[in-house]
Amino acid sequence: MSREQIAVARARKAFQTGRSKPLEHRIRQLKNLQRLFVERQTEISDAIKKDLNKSEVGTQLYETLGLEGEITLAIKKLKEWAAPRPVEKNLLTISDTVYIRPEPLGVVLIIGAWNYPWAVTIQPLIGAIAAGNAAVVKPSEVCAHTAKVMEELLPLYIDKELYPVVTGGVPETQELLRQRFDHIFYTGNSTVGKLIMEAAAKHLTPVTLELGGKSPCYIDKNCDISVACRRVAWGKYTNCGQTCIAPDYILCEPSIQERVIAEVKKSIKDFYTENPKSCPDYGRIINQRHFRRIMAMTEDSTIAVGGDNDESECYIAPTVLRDVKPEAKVMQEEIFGPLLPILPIGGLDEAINFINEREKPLALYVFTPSDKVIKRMIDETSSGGVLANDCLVHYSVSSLPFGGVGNSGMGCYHGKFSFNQLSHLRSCLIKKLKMEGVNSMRYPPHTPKKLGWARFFILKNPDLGWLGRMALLTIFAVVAAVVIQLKYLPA
Amino acid sequence: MSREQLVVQRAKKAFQTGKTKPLEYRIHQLKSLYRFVSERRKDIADAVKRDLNKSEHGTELFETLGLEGEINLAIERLAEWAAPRPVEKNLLTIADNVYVQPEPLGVVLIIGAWNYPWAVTLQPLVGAIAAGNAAIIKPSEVSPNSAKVMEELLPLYLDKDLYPVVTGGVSETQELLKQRFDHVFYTGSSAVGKLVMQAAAQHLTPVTLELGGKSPCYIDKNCDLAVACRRITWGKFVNCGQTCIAPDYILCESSIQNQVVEEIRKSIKEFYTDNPKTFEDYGRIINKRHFKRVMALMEGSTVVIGGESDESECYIAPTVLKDVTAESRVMQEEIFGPVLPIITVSGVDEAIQFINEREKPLVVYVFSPDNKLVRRVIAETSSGALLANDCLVHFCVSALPFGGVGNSGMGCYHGRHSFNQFSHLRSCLIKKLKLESINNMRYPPHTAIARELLKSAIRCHCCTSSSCNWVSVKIRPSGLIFC
Repeated sequence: MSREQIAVARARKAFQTGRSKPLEHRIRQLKNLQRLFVERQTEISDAIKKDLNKSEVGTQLYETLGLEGEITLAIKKLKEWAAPRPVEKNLLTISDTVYIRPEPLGVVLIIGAWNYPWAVTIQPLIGAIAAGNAAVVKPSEVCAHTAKVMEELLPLYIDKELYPVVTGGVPETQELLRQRFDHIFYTGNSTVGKLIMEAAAKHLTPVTLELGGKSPCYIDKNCDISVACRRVAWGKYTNCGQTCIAPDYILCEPSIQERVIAEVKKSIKDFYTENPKSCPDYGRIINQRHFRRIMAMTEDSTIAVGGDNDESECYIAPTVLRDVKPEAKVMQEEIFGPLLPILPIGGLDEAINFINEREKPLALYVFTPSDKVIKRMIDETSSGGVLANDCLVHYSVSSLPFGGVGNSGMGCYHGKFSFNQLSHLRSCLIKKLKMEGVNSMRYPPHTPKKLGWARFFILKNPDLGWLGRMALLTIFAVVAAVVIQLKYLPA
Repeated sequence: MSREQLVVQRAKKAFQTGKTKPLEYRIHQLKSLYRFVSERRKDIADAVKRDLNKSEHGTELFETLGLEGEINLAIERLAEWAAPRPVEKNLLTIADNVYVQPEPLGVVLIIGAWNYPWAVTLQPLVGAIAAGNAAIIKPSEVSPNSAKVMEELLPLYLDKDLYPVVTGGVSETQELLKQRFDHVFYTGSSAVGKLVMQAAAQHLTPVTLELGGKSPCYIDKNCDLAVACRRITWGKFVNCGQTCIAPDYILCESSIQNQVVEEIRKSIKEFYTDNPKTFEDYGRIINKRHFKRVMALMEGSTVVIGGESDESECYIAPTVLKDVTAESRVMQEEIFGPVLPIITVSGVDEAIQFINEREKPLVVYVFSPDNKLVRRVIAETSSGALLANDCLVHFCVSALPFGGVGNSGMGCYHGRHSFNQFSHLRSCLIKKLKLESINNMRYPPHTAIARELLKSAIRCHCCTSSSCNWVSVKIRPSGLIFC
């Protein structure tokens, strides 16, 4: 048996003992996970620095702070999330117990990504643990240092049979994907996403795919361009543009292009100094392969800001490209780097058309003071999420489902959505063996009269709120009382 | 271009005109669908009679009534379902507009099944229309009369570009599955379910798979056996056992096996008379292939009721098998026929173990007056759904999500769940370009002070404004921090 097979078999055996089910166990594991982030901040930051050249504060801000929040939320709300969820009753179920019961799925596979290795690998794990599953955690091998730290540290804090970390590259991932899971949660690109779903299909395993795409950013000429560009610059150059929801490219009218360039340039200087290369808060491209991929994209466009680079350090300066054409190289794939193309377009109509001619993105950004413009943008396009007048921050609103649509993914998570995504929401209807008389309308022979009753119950059948049920029960009680009086009491 | 390609392209073009987005349009189409079901009752009943030998009343009870209910519900609730759904705010979004907006996905493919050709093909369509999509409807070719009637009549009621019916067999379905859809909804077997999902993966198309499996039925010896067996008999032999949620097999203690057999015998006689073959409300197996398949399943087991058959009519009598073993043929696949095996177990422990050794079924049935026992079965097994003390009827509770888990499927529908399944629930966060100073803590340079400020803010992130019932003001050298 391969190492992967053994890890999965062990996780399944551990799940079958039932020990991941009690809420106390889940909360304990989540609290242990919390401790890991408090106690091991240094090791985590050091690894990220080696992988992505992120500063220690940057790591906390963008990786672990959000995780701590999600763990706290899960611990606080677990009882509520895991409780049976009563549903609306109707005439036919008025005396029954009807509810939805969240249950663990079993053994889930979480395949992480390299750009925010802790955030996108552990956030799904929080949901998996909270929902009572076992989970095999496969960090991305592209962020080699972080994968190693995860492999070493996680087993010191959480149950290593239920939540094993399996490191490795493509062959190890393929071997994992041959095993049978009860859910696969993948963060990465659309190409591999298809392969994951294909592999999952062989076992009828449901999947959550958090993919990517080119997230457009429309800047209305009437908005406060200074503030807008500040937020866009922050959203773009965080983690050197290696963010699934980074604003990929800007659409704006030609009359404001110069201003946009100037404002972005100003913000770059504010954030990263005149020399981003030596600024501790400016990152690096993950590896040389991606470095070359991104640099190649600049070939047929005009650089307005930045452009300097250093392959030996995988450094690419915060860069803006101007007057970019739709056919340009930089517009053919998700950039995932610190290049910000500006495409001049005629106005909102053209922007909407442009967006709709392309795959549905993970995020759509629109900067405008006009509610009407925002409404049109939302009504006439589709994307995973929409954020008006800022970038990235919808990611931290745990009451919003985070996920894609079309090429940008399927399924969603964060907060309660993580819990639901990794649960089976089982319908439960508990009837009694009484009142068999009511059922005669459904038994053969099927007569018109019986059918009439069935029609009444199924069609003229309001879903009753509490008051409606009380009213109906009162009526029944009165009728019953009258009948009893007439039948049993002496005249 | 193939016929299927053309149809999908036309549907996409029609969707892109935007005409399915207004709620009035969707309600108009749903009302037309309702008219179709009520005006063409006879055409539908005739087709189902030819396909499955179901009586006219049987068709109404088990096919169209539920459909009418779903259409009415969708019409009544559409405004509510389609409206923006506000979500809990927190301190950082307190001045923002935060909500989830349901949106159409685009063009969906609905692949129907033959056992309830109208119910399982058109119920998903209700959700697809309500959610504002275009939908290609592919009825099962195994119920050819119903498929033909659907193909001829639906276009007289619904927009034929947006909701075309495409008939055909395996090759036509394969051609359809090569096209790109925004969702594929399939009802049928697990084997084909895998192929559908694999095809969908090529386009990253999400799927809903309503599959099947062997739904176990545990009978506690302490329950009212007469009523229990009556309900099980009904659940099993409706549509000749060709129901995805039919109780597939019984688990009970050997001490009650004989009584169970007798009660079932009684109920069969009550429902289907002494001669089910001539009885109007008893159906037929869909075709000879399935007839042979079901008959072969009985080999090696003891027939204690029924067993008679007539291949020329695809007739199999309501049949009960006793003392069935786990290795017998009838226990190797979903029966989907009027054969009810009884397997004896020593009690609920063994029953639970038996169920857990097998694939997760679409439904688990348990008959018992004991709430504790029912709760144990719920807690220690997994299935699409669980129904205690009756069969099938959870299907009609539109507030309950109907779907499988594991081998029995993924996704769910009915009522609002149909609407959600066919929608994209898009997160919307509408901020303003004001209050930029608050954002300073997130911008580089990332100093330790900024980190502390942001830490407090993010900790408050997970408190919602409703749950944060105390505010303390801490004064630090760098300024005020609220939490």
